Amino acid sequence: MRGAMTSRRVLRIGVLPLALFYVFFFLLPALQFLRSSLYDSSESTDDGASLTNYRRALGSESVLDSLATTLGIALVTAVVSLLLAYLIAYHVVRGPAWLSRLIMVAALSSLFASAIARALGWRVLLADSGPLNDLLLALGVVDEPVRLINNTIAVTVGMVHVQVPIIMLALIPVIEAVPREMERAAYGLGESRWRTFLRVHLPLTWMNAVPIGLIAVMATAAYFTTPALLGGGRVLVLPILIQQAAQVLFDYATAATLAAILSIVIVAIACVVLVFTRWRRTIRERGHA
Amino acid sequence: MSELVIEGLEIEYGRNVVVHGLDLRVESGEFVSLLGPSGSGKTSVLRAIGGYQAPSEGSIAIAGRDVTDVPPQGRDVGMVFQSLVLFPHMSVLRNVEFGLRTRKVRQPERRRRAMETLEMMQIAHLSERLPFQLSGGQQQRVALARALVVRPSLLLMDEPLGALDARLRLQMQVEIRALQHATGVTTIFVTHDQQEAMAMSDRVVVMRDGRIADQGGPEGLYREPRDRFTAEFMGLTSLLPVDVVRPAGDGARVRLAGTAHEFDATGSADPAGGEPTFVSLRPEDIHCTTQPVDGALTGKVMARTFRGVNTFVQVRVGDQTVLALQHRGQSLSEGAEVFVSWDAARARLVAGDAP
Repeated sequence: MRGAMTSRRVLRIGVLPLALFYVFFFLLPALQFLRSSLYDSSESTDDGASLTNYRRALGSESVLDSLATTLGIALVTAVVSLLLAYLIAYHVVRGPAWLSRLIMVAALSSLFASAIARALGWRVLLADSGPLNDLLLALGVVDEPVRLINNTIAVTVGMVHVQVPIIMLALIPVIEAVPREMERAAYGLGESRWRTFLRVHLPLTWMNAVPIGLIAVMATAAYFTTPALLGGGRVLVLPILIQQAAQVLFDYATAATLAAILSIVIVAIACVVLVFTRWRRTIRERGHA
Repeated sequence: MSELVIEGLEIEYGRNVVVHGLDLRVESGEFVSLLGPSGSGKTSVLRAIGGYQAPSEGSIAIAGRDVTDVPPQGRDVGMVFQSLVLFPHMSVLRNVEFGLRTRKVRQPERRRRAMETLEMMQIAHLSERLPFQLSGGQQQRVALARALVVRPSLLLMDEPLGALDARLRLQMQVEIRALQHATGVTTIFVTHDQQEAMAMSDRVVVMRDGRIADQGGPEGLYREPRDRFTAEFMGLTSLLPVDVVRPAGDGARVRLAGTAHEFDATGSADPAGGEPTFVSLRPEDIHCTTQPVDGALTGKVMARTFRGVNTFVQVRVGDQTVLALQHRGQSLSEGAEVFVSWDAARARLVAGDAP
């Protein structure tokens, strides 16, 4: 009892430096940055805070286009990554030991590779004279090289590659929460493995996968490197616009405005999804035998 | 016809062999319990029958068809798991309909059969509930209904009553047995509880270290255990170390070790491997009287345990302690001098080392 109290106190004190660091080096600068979005950048006279920047940004077609592109890529990436990661994580949990070890090593090594290296790898693979086009030509699927690079598809492929290992790691405990005998019961009643996955596993676990998918949406929407390297300047997602405003045009007010818009939109999406799925209901609360 | 024929079944986990060359036949309509302590391989055998555990050797045939390499989906076997594993996101009705759906039984036939089974289990009124809204006994019935609704040729049950309290357990034992009689489904029931096995089964198969130690009807096993392990596992018993004087009839004349006291016992007088021999006596077969009896041993009551339905006494006889049931109308107090006797027909000769 006393030991628990002491360790709780130690924990509380130990957290303090980190909290201070966070407040002074992240929270305050971030708020300062976002505050600049409230002051009009084009007028020299300082007449107090206003939403002029927001009005201008939301009235601009290029910003709205960019927002749509960003969210589109983020949603497609999250859904595709979730599906792929689900199947892979299922094999990590239920498959033979050698297979799960192989997948884990592959996933972790891909996490260790830098995002830039991975994106440049895709540039080689997807290039007009790259291996994928060579294969398509050799198979006679196409007559001339297909444009696979510098477009939304390339960015999405690159983002899926970034997200799958992370989501897979997060899904492992979700899948492990379903007892193996639950599947065995379905097999014994004559259900195939694939349909057991669809009828038993997925309905029991998808609610717990929703927050993981949201993390993927947020991380993808805020990603800069992959869209920059695989989009070839043609896929203008919001992080690229923010970077241009801040580092090319030195227009911090616009950069801050766009950053705030991106954050607000993502938080709003997260709230809506979480409310509608009631993801907090765990398997146990739903009456797992 | 034999519903289930197992021949030379071997199961290994890695290098660990848990079932050694097991042979078992189960007749149609029979209720067979696999009884054994944990690690005896009983659950592994059940899993192999259900198709959840691939045997390393041997064959399994269900209803005359070799299913050794058939996955669980193709075996026509109903299984009730220890943890029941009802599908938590489906109503009772949908749980029961599950196996009918996979067998392509269409509505309204599907619903009719599911409701019929639920009515048989007396839980039709719960059909719209979710599993977590049910009590333990109700969940038990749903799990049974889900397994039985497809009319499997074989029903497998893996310690399904383990999670219930003692009272409900007794009730479910009676209900499951009655249901098995009514449906006539061949049933294999795994348990480590000898009372449960005796109360429910036509035949009890006692397992030890991945082999069949003994098998037979509950009474036969209880009265005439083959060896010391079965004698001790099938209920309370007192083991008195003896030396065989000479074989006599279908038993032997024995001498209580360390004494000159000789008496008759039934069972094999010629144990294999020179293991120590004992006479096994069930508590209800030992008579303790305060009046002298011919050929009785003298003893002293060391302890008395009141259990409601009956009372046990521990009696010190020489350097041995025996456990006896206090007979009706008797009142033996601690420290009392008593005369201990038994029917020769109930003294069972068994051999074996301490487990």
